[in-house]
Amino acid sequence: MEWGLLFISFLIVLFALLFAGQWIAFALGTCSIIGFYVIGSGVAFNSIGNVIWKNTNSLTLTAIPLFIFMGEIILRSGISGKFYNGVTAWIGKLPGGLLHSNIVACAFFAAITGSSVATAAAIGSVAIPEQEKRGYNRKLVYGSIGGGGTLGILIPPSIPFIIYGVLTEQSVARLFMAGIIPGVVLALIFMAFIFIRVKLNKSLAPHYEDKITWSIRFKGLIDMFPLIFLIGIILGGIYLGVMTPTEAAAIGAIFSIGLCLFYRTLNFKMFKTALENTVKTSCMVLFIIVGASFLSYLMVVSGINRELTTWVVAQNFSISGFLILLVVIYFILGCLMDGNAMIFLTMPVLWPIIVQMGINPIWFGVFLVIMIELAQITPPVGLNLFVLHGVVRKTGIKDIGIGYIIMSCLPYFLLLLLMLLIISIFPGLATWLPANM
Amino acid sequence: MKILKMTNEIIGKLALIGALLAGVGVICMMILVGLDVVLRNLMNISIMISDEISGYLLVAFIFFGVTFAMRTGALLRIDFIYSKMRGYFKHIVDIILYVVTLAYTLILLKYSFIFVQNSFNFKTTSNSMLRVPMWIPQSVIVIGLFVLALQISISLIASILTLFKEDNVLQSILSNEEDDGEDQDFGEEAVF
Repeated sequence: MEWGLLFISFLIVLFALLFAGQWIAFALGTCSIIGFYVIGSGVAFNSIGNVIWKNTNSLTLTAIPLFIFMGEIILRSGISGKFYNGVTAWIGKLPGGLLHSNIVACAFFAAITGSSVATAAAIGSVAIPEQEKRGYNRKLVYGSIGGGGTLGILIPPSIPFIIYGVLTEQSVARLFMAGIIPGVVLALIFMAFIFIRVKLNKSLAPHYEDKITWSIRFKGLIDMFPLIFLIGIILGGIYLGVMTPTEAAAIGAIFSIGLCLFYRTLNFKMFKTALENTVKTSCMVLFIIVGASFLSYLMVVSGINRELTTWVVAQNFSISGFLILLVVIYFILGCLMDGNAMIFLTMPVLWPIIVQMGINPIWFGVFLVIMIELAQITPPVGLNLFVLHGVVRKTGIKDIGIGYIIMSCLPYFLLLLLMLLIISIFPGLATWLPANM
Repeated sequence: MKILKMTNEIIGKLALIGALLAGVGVICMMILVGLDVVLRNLMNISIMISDEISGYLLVAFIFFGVTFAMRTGALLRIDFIYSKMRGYFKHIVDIILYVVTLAYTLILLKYSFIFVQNSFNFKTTSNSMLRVPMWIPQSVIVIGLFVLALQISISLIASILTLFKEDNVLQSILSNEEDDGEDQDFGEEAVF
């Protein structure tokens, strides 16, 4: 069969299944198996067992359940409130006050827990009632929590980086390092945005009147210490080559349990729930890898990869034109599906083209993760939006619709696009740190 | 209907046992990998087998845990159209999706079984010092997929029967995707 027809048929079947509500793991796998039938590859069928084994028996992937477990434990440790207060003690006096705390606390907490959704719930339930009481502009409050939560997947440890690294055989350690500077720059851009908005219109956020003494600041430092220390161990260990990302995940999980024991928040029920959620979330992600690995295999044995790459290269796209096209594709996909699913769906097809066009794979990892951040706040499937909406309603504010939340997050959407432009103009922001490991 | 209910309960138990084993697997991975780092960096000793065992544990984790993930509704789907489907139409779509899912799972099961059988027949072992017969860690794929196929089968049967009559037992089977105690209490304390 001609490759173009095969590819288009494949896309039609895949999207028909996906939009009908098929589980992503099964949709990817089913289409690939149908593809094996169509190309009549007996070898492909006989390789099924081997493909499953080779792609799941992976030490790198072990990092996923371990990081998720660490995040689940931290999420229930009762530390988010303390951390939030600690951050406020240091940056609460900036124009914009607690809004900056939202950004910083969300960025840190989402990085550690690996879940921007859980972060929006945890930080949102602490921050929203307080800022409502103090008369902060609602749009800025919701936006800072929704937007801030997206930062977590860029700042390591980050599950999308692990998935991308495994699918494209890139070093997860380097990808983690590549995310740090763009993550910090993005957080600063978010804070600068709040700073400017509040400077221009002081009524948006009241000045933080509470007296902050040095003893409060010192206590704040103690409250922030565990999370900063945890990120420090993970990133420091990886950067210095003392630990692999998987080992850092194991150490992080052990440390988080120790932290809960120290704070006396660890009990059997909490431990069981954390473990249950780890099994659910990790299996969900890891089972998609089985389907995605069949897709990769199909793309190779059917020759689609080779032909599609040759075709795209023959179109003489410039790299920037190609990247703009990808932004459009990922934007559309991001409106429709979860961010991690986007990686599974696109990488088996796009990866050879990216290599052929000479795009730096580490840089592209950062580009991809920023696109996923965008997906988290784009309707109709932007999970952050819905969780935030739920949290807002839970705090007793009933007159806010989902449309209001979407509009609140819109500036952050534009700032994420700005960040894409910045790393395109200054790729060193993403590539410098991994190059110096 | 009674048999159906009982079968569903048995599959539920199997899924729970799978989840328990997967949970134990995570703890073992954490201890094994963590211990290796500590021993290597502090005492210059390495547990040579930790990488290999962790890999096997991950395979077991995925395939033992996947049925539990499915029963608790954790598997990811694009549901902005699906969630709007109602009544007869939704039942038909469900049946089609379950048939497709079952066919896919059975194909994986068949070829995974052949793969494990080959490892057994050819006495394949790992390259490490452990010389693990590969069929042992590989069998978890077959076991996990078998339980998953059972889960999908019972959901499919319940979906088909629902077309003909509304029944509480059928509903309870189809809504296995219950939220099993996920607590949203993150133990926050707001002290500003």
